[in-house]
Amino acid sequence: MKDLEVIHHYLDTQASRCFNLLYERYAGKIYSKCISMLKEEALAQDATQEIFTKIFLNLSRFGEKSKFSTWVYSITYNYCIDFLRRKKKQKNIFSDEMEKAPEPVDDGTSEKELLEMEIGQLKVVLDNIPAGDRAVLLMKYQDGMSIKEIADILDKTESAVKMKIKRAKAKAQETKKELFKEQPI
Amino acid sequence: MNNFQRLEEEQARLYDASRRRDVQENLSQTFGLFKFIGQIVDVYLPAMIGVLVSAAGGKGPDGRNQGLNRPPSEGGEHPGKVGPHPPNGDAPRR
Repeated sequence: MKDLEVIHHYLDTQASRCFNLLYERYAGKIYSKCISMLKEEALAQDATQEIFTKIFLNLSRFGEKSKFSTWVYSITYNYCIDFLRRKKKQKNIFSDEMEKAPEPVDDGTSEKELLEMEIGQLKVVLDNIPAGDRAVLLMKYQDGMSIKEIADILDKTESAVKMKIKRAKAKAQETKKELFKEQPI
Repeated sequence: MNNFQRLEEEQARLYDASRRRDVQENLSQTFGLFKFIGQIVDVYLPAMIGVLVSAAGGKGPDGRNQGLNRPPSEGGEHPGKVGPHPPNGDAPRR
């Protein structure tokens, strides 16, 4: 049964079977994103619960303009971003110093290196870069979202998102070099 | 599948059966509560609005002025013949 069929059936009948089906499909992925964003298992568990509550309370507003998974992940990222914003009392985690930094040179190698980074290192690198950078890298490389989809979620222009991704990749490379200095043989 | 997606799978595995069950139970309770509140609102809200409108001297949903609806003993209009109508003709014999 496809997501859309389950959603329509749930909206018609409020059957708990439909709720359980969507929960089984998305709970693990939502939890994983929450762990990446919030870095604490207990916070991620609470966030997963809150996000599911939001999803089901707003299910009738899902306009089917995007894939259901994209809509679910947009709620997930926005929840995590809002949570971090409240925690840090920072107005906008996307308007940090990086916004004013000069444009990094992207010769295409940074993306390849990023995607081929060993999983353990990737996790450490993601944990050590700013939340805004982490979010855009996850949206692009984990969820395979388009620039437009990311721009819609973050309420930014597409060119601002492209710039943000470029800077996030540079930041990730820089962080990897700092944290995992190559050992001389 | 790239390493970002492998990392996602690895982290999703941390969401073990016990966590999954705990969150699912909490969500069921939350939605059960919402459903209950919704049902109460559905049943009682129109009646409550009717009572408030009547108390304020407004007209009820049937268009009558609820504030002036007095019994005949207090000068109100008699509603006319009430009760069941008599059967037409004789009752059928067995």
